Amino acid sequence: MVTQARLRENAALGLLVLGLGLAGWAGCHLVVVARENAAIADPRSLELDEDTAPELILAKAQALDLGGDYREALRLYHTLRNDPSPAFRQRVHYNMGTIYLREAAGLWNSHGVLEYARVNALVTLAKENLKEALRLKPDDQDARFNLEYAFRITPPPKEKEKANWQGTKSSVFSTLPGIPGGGP
Amino acid sequence: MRKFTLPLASMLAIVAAAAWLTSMSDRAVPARLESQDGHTVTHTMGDLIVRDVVVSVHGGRIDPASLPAPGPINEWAEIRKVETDSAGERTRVRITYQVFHGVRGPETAELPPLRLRFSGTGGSPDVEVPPLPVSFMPLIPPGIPDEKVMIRTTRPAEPRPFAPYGPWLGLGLALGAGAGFYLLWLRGLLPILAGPLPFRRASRELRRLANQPLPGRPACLILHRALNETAGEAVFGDDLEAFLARHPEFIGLRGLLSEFFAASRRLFFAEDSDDGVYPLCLKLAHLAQRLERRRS
Repeated sequence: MVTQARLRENAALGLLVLGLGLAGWAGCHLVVVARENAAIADPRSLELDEDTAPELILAKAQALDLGGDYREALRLYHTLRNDPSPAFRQRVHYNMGTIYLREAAGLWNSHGVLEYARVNALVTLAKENLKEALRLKPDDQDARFNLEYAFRITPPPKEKEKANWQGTKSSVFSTLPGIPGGGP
Repeated sequence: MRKFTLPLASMLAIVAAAAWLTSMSDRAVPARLESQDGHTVTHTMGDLIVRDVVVSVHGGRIDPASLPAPGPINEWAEIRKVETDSAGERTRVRITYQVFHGVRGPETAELPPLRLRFSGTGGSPDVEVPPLPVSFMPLIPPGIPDEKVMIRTTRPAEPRPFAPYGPWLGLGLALGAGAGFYLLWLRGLLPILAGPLPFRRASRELRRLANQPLPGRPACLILHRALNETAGEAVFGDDLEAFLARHPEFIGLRGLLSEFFAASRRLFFAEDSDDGVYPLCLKLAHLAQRLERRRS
């Protein structure tokens, strides 16, 4: 009977240790999650390092973009493009595509084809990222809408410059600047 | 008679040749396109389009190399998935496309034709699947100038869920609390739940006797009282087995209890010395305290 009582005590002690260990482990994670959520809610003062959680980097990138520093935001988004979670990668590609599109739309609507090269490059990047976002989540209505707009503002193909130069050897020489003062 | 022989022979030869050709064509029926789903639905940017092609193969098998490979097929469509499914003499090829066709108004475009190759069939081994017309309409209402279109904004980071950890914390706390209460109950440290714990009280009272010069007699009295209280009646040495039968939790203490009754008898009736009685009572009370349980 003494042995049985001791066994019961030991079993209860083991369960106590297990329960407290489990509670401690879960509590630690809850504290970490609560801290991360606080940082996500206000990421302005967030300092990034290699251990920073991807969601925090996304929050920082979003804050930088809203603050006007979209280039730094894109740099941060680029670091997240290979995240193993497809749902997270989808959001990263959507945000990148949308930033490229917004910049392209600004240039297109203000300068039109005068900014052909930049608009074309930005729209191409926007389309690539929005397509990838739609590959990962085909029913993303926002990505569909933005991609359609990217197609709308895609500049028309630039016409190839005509090869209509018809100069002759003499006319070439005639375009060379003369040496002032009649040098050799 | 002879003048009919040559035409008759010619006719017989023609009939035989026709029969042979017919039998050959029966034996070698080529793979044939049976149907292709017509797409009456109008699609928009990013839609997935499933194209079902059914081919009757008459014993042949589709050449996997002739199936289109996943990936972009033109500027606005890409293949996401290709599946084949054979049942009887029919093979179904299901191709899932995703379309990225930007349009400003309703438009129709065509998914390109397919050429599927089958092995083991007579006739032409290739099956031509005609192009599939697909209708598109824009998501952005036509007529809105580009500069008036408001693009959708970027998405903020999502707060991390507490989900897996909250329940684990609750489970851990519940487990710890349950085990803790059980442990306290086992050790008799929950007086409310434990009910009267005679040996626990006796153990406490015995410890108070530690500094007395002759603690043997009062110690025996205390322990007798605890035993009586546990049994609900007076317990003597002769009643020990009956007591243990009613309280089997103390069976492990049979030897100590016998020793205690013997020592008590010597002390009270034979006026024996006090030596060794107090430690015996203390040990017995301590062990019994651990075994006693709440009684109904």
